[in-house]
Amino acid sequence: MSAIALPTRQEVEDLLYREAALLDEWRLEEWLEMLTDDAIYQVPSTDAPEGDARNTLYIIADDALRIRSRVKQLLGKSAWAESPHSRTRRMITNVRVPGADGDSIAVTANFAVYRMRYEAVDTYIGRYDYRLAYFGKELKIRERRAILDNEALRPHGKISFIL
Amino acid sequence: MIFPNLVINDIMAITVRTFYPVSPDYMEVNAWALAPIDESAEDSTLRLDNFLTFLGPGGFATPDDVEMLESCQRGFVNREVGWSDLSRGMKSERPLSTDDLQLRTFWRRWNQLMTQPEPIRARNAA
Repeated sequence: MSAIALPTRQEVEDLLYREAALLDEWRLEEWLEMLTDDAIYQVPSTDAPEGDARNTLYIIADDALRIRSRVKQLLGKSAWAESPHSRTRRMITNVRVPGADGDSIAVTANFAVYRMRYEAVDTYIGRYDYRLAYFGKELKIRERRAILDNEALRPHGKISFIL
Repeated sequence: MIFPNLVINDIMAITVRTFYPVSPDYMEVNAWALAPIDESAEDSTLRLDNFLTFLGPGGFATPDDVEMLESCQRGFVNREVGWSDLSRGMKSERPLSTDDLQLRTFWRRWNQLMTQPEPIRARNAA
């Protein structure tokens, strides 16, 4: 039995859907408010999806400071790959809340994220592993890992937005 | 840059790249992170983190470089003139690092290999 009361799947889905909407609408400052002060955001390499960022090269391994820098860059004028911003649409399904470790609540979900720009559609498919934590009554994101099923990043060649 | 398609970049970390123009509208760029064999676990973590900050498909710089490459290709497809102006520094005695000398050298060699008669081309390739 978990040490803390787990949120219902609906509560978790509300959080994930709200996050998806904020990211798709490029409301990144508001998205930052959904994260804890020590949040991390990771995307492992496609050839080592279960690797550890300490000894395996990731595509993205941001601590809270770098997440903020990333948002600042994306909302500025010099992020050429996203200026103008691409259109994105996130499908999030198969949400599960398997349990908690201390005060961190584990959540997994499947995703399909589409990115549209210059008449090309790039598709990112995979699984999210989240760690959520309660701050008072508010559920926040402490950790989000996007583990891609794509075997390679071709032809996209990049992850230039928040996946 | 080692002619024709190898790049070794010693910046935030050492990255080795190759590029293959597969078709007029598609190029494959491969990149590797170079590391010492006897690197300590701590150094490895630092190096990987440094690499990520700037380089790779999710770094703070490489996605914009990919965008530039794609933007250039879109531009080349749509323009009317059949040549590129790479004349910067052509008349200076001592070219600056920002001049186009290396570009002219690259394309002269490329042109030589592409236009010379077949037997010579075969001998050069051997």
